[in-house]
Amino acid sequence: MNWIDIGALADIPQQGARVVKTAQGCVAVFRTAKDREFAIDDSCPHKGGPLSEGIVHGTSVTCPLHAWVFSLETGMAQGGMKGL
Amino acid sequence: MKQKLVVIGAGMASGRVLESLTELAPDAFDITLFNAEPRGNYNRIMLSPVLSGEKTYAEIVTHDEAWYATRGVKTVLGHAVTKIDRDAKTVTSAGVETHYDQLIIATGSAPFIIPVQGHKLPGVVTYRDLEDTNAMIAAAKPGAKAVVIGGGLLGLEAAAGMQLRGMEVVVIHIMGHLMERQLDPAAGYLLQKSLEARGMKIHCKGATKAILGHERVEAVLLEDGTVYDADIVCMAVGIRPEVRLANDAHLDVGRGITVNDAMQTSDPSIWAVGECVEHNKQLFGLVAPLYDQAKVLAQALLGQDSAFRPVQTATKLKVTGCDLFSAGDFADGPGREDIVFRDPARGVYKRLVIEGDKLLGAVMYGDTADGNWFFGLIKDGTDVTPMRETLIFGPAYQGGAQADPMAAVAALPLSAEICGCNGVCKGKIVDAILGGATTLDLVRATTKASSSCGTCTGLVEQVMAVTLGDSFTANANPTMCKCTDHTHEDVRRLIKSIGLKSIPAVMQELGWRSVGGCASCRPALNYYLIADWPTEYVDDRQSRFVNERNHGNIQKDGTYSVVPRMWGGVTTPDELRAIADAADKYNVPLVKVTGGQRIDLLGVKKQDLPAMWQDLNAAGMVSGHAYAKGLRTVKTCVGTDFCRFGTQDSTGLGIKLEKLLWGSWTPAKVKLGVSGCPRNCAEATCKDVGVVCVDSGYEISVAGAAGMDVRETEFLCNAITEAETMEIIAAFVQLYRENSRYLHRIYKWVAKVGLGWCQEQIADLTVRHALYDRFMLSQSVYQVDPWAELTKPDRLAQWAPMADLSLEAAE
Ligand SMILES: Cc1cc2nc3c(=O)[nH]c(=O)nc-3n(C[C@H](O)[C@H](O)[C@H](O)COP(=O)(O)OP(=O)(O)OC[C@H]3O[C@@H](n4cnc5c(N)ncnc54)[C@H](O)[C@@H]3O)c2cc1C
Ligand code: SF4
Repeated sequence: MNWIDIGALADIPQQGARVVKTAQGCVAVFRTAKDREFAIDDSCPHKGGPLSEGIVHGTSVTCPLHAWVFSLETGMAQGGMKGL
Repeated sequence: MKQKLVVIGAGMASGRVLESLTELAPDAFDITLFNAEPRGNYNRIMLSPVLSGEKTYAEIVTHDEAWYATRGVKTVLGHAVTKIDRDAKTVTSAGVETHYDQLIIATGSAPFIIPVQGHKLPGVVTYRDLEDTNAMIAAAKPGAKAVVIGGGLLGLEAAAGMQLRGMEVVVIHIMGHLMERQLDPAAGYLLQKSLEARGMKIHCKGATKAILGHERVEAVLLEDGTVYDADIVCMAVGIRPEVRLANDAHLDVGRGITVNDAMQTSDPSIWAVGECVEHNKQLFGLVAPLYDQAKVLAQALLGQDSAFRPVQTATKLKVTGCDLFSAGDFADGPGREDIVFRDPARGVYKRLVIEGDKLLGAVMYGDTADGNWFFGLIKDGTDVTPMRETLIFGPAYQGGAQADPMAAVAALPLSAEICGCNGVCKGKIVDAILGGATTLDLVRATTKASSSCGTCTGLVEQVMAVTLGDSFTANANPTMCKCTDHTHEDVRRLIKSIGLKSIPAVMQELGWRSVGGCASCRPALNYYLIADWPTEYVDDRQSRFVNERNHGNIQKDGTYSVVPRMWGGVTTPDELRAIADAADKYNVPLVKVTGGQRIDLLGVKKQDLPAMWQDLNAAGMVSGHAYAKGLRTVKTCVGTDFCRFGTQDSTGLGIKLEKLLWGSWTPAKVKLGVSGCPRNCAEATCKDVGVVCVDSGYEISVAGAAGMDVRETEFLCNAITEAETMEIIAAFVQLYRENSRYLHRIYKWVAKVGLGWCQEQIADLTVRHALYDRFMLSQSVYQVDPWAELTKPDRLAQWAPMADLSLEAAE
């Protein structure tokens, strides 16, 4: 296990996210209202929307482009998404 | 002449067939029943309580001699059928041939035996029938040792039964957790803990290498070298359909005997039912589907149309004190989602697996009271979306106190204001209802509540529902989102009347079902709170849609557009130079003139936003809010300054209006137009608010649209002076801000509340002044340039990536 310091919890707004750039693409690091953290690929699997810019609710994030909802815990798309 | 029906196997499935058949048509067949076990049908699943001593065999017999006698069923017990001759249509048992016209194979399953060394030693049993059960009971002397191989449903019931009889029991299970087919690891772990707490030894990931012993079993040796002493070994490692007879008779056999929907095998006069069949590639190991099969078969034999359709089944472990339940499919999979509830202190674990809007599976340990309710939802494919957030708490919670949309209304004090327009409080409405006003119209007539703008209609109806109970049928106003049962209008009204001043407070007091809302209600609530409590509530950036959070419209490639404000569409060479410089400096791919008379810089990267804003700020420009649910643009024509037709200074008024209104947040975007004369070059009559200058002053019209809907504005009122025009427009925008639901453009809102009501409000000078004052109060807080705010040194960092590991990783 290799640990890399990417910053402090306080660098991320509650119910928000910040991006960490990596050679493989951007990773969105989320902080929930209850200060849980999650990291997922910043790119929405639907059309590549920046998930770090989505609205964070509970432990889910809604993609800003087409409102797909993803669980931060599982990375799975959730029901209730509109269209498509 | 009666047909001859022969049944092979007296098990759970054939027992049901006989019951149905003799009930539907008592005299249709001449029935002969063969069974290898020396007894008739009994309730096999109740062998576990027999093993544990909680029941006797006599108690679990389902069909006794008297039953067979009264139904005219001949029985041949204790002799297996050894051959089917399809040509002669006979079966052979104990050397005797019996003729059939129709034949039912119901031979069930045979327990699987791992062929390790020693598996044939005396003292090695399976767990299938009364003989096995009795062998285990016989071995059960206090202190005697039992090893159960297999930690599935049957193995654990055997283990628990023997333990209750005073034996020392070890369970050896090959998988990582118990009952892996029915339980996920978490539930398996809890089950293991609770069995261990009763003194059972559980050995997971244990592979049996050999069963040791001379004359009879003495011990079990595992691959890892562990040895467990054993006086009896119960092998419960699985079953496989008993298909030997069918194979020998050359019927179609897959893993089980292949049957069609009517339970008919490949030979039209031979039928099969129970665990021995395979239907649509599926095998069956629980009684519920077998009972369905039995019913279908009975009907089919009588020539009735009937088709077997397997339904989901649920599992419960019949071990007293171990409360577990499992139903449906709970494997992880793409698009599947979990809802998990744990109470470590009580040892409770519940997990629901959802796909789309349906419940697919449920696993529960420790508290299974709601099992059947969940099972019903799975079986019926119920759309669980509406109750999703509270689903895991079970049926009691659905419509329970916290989730009851009425609760908040019921809890309102009688003095709470329900109708803002007419100042009607709850008590007055309740009095009216109790006084006989039992319809909305009557309530309106007696109290005036909901008779003006109508936004409180939902609330009035809820007060009626609370007061009248079941005799009231509510309207079908859509709710705000799936997180709540309240409509937008109700939420707005309740925010005011309860005095809710934060998003968590709204969610708590109004019984939000979700944690933290969703992307639909959060921006709406944030807006309502901003509009209603401008000086007390603090804007929640994280509840804003990305465009408003980053003050730019996100484009489909994730870049943003930057639009500086050009007051009234008027600019200067210096401003244009600064825009051009910025476009060059930040490699802006597209510079475009918008329909709102300004310039759009498209394709800006997020990390360039702050520097670009700073540059534009330095040239005296501010954000154009081209992304906002707020004031966008005021389009103007050149008016009296340059146009020979102009009647008033339309450009000047446009600039003043823009400077008055900019920065205000509104339910949806607001665009204005000011034309210098009725030729209307600024297209003011398709804007949210339009002003057309005339010789005598200003004609103000509202509720136009030129988007998906195209509408001409409707006349609101005339004004004599510029100042009056501005006050009226600010008051009207404030009326909209305070009353509309989020995302409704002005034309939609006006259609709801009625233009007449708006005119009344604006015409009433006290109301108008108060609206204007409230608008200005809000502007004192919110009329700030976001570009300047967000580029303050302490906020700059947030625009950059938190960390950049791309170089590190590349090395
Ligand atoms: C201990 C135990 C506990 C269980 N608990 C549950 C439970 O809680 N819930 C649940 O849903 N299911 C449970 N089951 C499973 C359930 O009992 C079976 O699914 C069901 O009994 C299968 O019914 P069947 O008629 O297909 O076969 P069976 O009930 O096995 O009947 C088949 C009969 O055919 C006889 N036979 C076989 N071959 C021949 C032949 N050649 N000639 C004559 N006769 C023959 C057999 O001797 C047997 O009596 C349990 C099973 C066991 C053993
Ligand atoms: S609207 Fe009237 S005043 Fe304005 S430019 Fe057109 S013609 Fe001239």
